[in-house]
Amino acid sequence: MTVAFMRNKMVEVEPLPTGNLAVYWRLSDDLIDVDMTLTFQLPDLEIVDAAAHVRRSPHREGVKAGEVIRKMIGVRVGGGLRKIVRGLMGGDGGNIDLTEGVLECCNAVILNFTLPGIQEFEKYTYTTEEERLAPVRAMLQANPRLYRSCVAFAEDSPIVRGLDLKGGVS
Amino acid sequence: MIVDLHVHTKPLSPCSHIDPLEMVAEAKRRGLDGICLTEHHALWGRGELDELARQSGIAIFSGNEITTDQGDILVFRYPVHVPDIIPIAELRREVLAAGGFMIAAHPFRGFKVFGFGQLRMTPEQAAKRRLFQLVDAMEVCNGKLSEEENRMALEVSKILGLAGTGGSDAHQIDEIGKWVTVFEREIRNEQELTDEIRAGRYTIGAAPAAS
Repeated sequence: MTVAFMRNKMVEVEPLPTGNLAVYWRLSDDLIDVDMTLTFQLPDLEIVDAAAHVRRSPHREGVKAGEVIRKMIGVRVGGGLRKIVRGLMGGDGGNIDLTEGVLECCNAVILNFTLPGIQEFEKYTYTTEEERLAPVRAMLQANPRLYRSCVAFAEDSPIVRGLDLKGGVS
Repeated sequence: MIVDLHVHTKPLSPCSHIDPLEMVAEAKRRGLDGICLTEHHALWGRGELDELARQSGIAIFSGNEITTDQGDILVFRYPVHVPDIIPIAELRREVLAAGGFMIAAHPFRGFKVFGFGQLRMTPEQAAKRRLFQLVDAMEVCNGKLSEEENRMALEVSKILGLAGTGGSDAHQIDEIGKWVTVFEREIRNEQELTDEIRAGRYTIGAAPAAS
């Protein structure tokens, strides 16, 4: 027996005339068919509108599953985003497809701002290790809570060397 | 009276590396007079707090850090266990009904992680967040944030006339006291703590340098 399964997924960021960003996301496969549109208000990146249409779903709520997306209004792209989105969408017992869709929309917004900078960064050729690490150190200095959050930012990491992140009272 | 208003300990906050007994020893060494235990969605028992205070000789106050749709909130005088993320409007209703007090924790954490130069949010724009209409105070000096993030919080608190507090948000022992709130009066309980914040009888600073 041959099992055939096809999945299509897309996400698109569109600047609106109001200055906001609309993110359109669609997932379609043999079990699920859902699309959502989230509108993000700049500069705070707050979700000011959210709609989802579920045409096919294996989840218990069926096509009514999209109603839960309204809980996303007021959530901002920022610290604690994953925890907040997953919590509001019902956690492990919630609609995982929609939850991941919201997070992918937020990720698309982040990429919309970060990708051009990252691409520029990757084009640059460095002559010394110090020069290569300088932008990462600047990023860590601007986000001190990342210090000791992973091995790359551990106390004995070359990235952390020379940074004053402990004493910190300014 | 020097108090760190925002400290996490293990095991109630699984993300913390601070043992409560080591915490009080370090707090004393740094010259603190009090600590607020603000675990994530978890509360200390009154008996445990009293015992820790008795052993250490410093004041131990109880709070709770609750995650809402608008971010993390330090909640005082609301001795109810909130297991999950909760909409802030709902939390506000319940805390007000209980006579509690809410502080927006690290309100601008990560607001400039990306968008270098493109997302220049002004303090006036930031002050319009609904969050600030639903809290009694906001943290303007948090030990885990950058100077820029704390500065934004301070400016917003001035625009709104909202009380600003300082706390370390310590998760590691050497972070205790990085920012503290220095009260003019002696404080004996959470009621007096929040009354003094409301009255503005405090300043924000750093713990006296540890020897």
